Amino acid sequence: MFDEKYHNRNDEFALRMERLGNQMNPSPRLMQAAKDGVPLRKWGNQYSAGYHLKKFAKAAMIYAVCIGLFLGIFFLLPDLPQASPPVGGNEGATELRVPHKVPKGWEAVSTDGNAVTYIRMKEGADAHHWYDQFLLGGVSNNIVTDIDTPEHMSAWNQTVTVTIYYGCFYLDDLTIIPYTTESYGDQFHAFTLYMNINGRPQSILQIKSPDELTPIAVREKENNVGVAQIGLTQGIMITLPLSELTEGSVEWELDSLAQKYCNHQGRVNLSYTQWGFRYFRSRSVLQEYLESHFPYMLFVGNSPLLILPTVVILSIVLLIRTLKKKKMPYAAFLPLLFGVVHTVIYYLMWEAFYQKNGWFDGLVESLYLLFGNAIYGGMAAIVAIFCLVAGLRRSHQRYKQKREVDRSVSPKSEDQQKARD
Amino acid sequence: MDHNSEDARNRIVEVHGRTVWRVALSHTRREDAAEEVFQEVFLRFFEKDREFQSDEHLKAWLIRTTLICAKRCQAAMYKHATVSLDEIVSLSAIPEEDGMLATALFNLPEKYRLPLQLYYIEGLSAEECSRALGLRLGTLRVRLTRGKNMLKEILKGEGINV
Repeated sequence: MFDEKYHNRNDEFALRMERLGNQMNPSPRLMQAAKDGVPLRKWGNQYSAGYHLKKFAKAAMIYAVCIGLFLGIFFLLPDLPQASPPVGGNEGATELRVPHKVPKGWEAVSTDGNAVTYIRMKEGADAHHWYDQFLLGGVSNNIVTDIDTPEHMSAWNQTVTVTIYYGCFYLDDLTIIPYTTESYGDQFHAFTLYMNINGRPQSILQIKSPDELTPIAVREKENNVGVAQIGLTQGIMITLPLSELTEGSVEWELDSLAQKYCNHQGRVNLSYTQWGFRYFRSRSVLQEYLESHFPYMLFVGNSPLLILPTVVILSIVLLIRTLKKKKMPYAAFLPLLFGVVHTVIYYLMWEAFYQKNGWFDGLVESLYLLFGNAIYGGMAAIVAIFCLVAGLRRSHQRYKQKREVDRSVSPKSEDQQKARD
Repeated sequence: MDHNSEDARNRIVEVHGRTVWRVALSHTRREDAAEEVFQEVFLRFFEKDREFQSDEHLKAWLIRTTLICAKRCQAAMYKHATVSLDEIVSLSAIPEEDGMLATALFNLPEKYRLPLQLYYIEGLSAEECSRALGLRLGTLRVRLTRGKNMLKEILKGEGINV
């Protein structure tokens, strides 16, 4: 195949090729640099900050799309009801109000002809559907009792019955506001908040001294009661991870002493919504599992339940990517970043604007939750740190290699040069 | 042989610098990348005291190292951006007639371009080319023949008969 005559080095083609080669010369500067052993370009990282920024932005975009897809597939369905703020304020004595808009599948029930005392699910309605609608709807799903004068004492005895058909139930923002702390004086009497769960009366809160009117948290796990808090201005939030409570009722009442001393002004705001779910329509199997097995997670909000699957999946993917390609994993930091930003901004907004507690409270709350929310934050942090170490190690090895080359060819010091001469 | 003495270094760069440059340029088809490769090859060369049996051995080592470095550099470049050939190889210094040959050569696929470059421009024998490129002798010969034919066809289209 190889024809020596055809590939003769003396024919016109070969001569022209040789002539061409003679005209292709490196620049004198480059030649001199090679002779000196000093590279013209700086060794090391040849990528600009813009390059890194672009990579990071790309990773952020991919991450956002992943989260969007994940949430979209698992939580969002069409015709999301428009959210509206919950009802609050003094609306009138003994008035019990239910949502302006009764959730789909539910009906308002009036026992006295005018005031609606409770809502119940329509017969045959799909419980799951109700749950989604109800929690998602953001309808003013509060039952508010405002008591301004002693003659409305009877309102304290009002039993609000909410029938629970499905899953978890939240008593949110149950606020008991004594007139003033001074009004108790030395005659403070303990009061107890009772709650009947499935017909079993359970004491969920006991206030024994005025000091306890500062925010406290009570945990009574054996009663399936998650958390109760009370304060002068802070409501009681009772989160009930009642996995066993598939159907039943929750009733609450204050004891007589509490009625006596809390009768000037008090507001019981029974809300059975939970903000975290307002954004998401249905509950995944994973959420159900987590709620039933890790009820304390509800205390720190539902964000772990929603974010956790995303973080787990992405973290595993990123980890594999990092180990396989041994590259600095920009995207590995994003779950952590997302967790921090989400927690701080969301809770900040929640406290500052929605609850109107001010920026400081919002910040404190968000930081508290940020540290408390170790489930996804911690996991993401571990992954990020691992990836960071792997990336830095790799980078350091490369740097060491380059440095060794540089040293071996760098101009010798004067002393070395003299010794050599 | 002490390659790190100033004289030796100057001599080696002077004698083999152009070869390294041409191979690097031919492989990467970018002057800036060729500069990087050029420097890396000589940095590698000077970093250790290597023993070479002859000047041909040294040349073969330099060509082989240039090809390795160029390949790595090209792979890194490929990930980032691609630009047209006209923008990257400066052929203005080459006279028009040879410039067309250069353009035609740079436009050839790499597997034909490099054998032609090593055989005709660098003056390596067919065996040396095959060793440097890691090809069997028969494969190299086929590529040389086909490359040359392709080059002739291109030049013919430009009205140049070789």
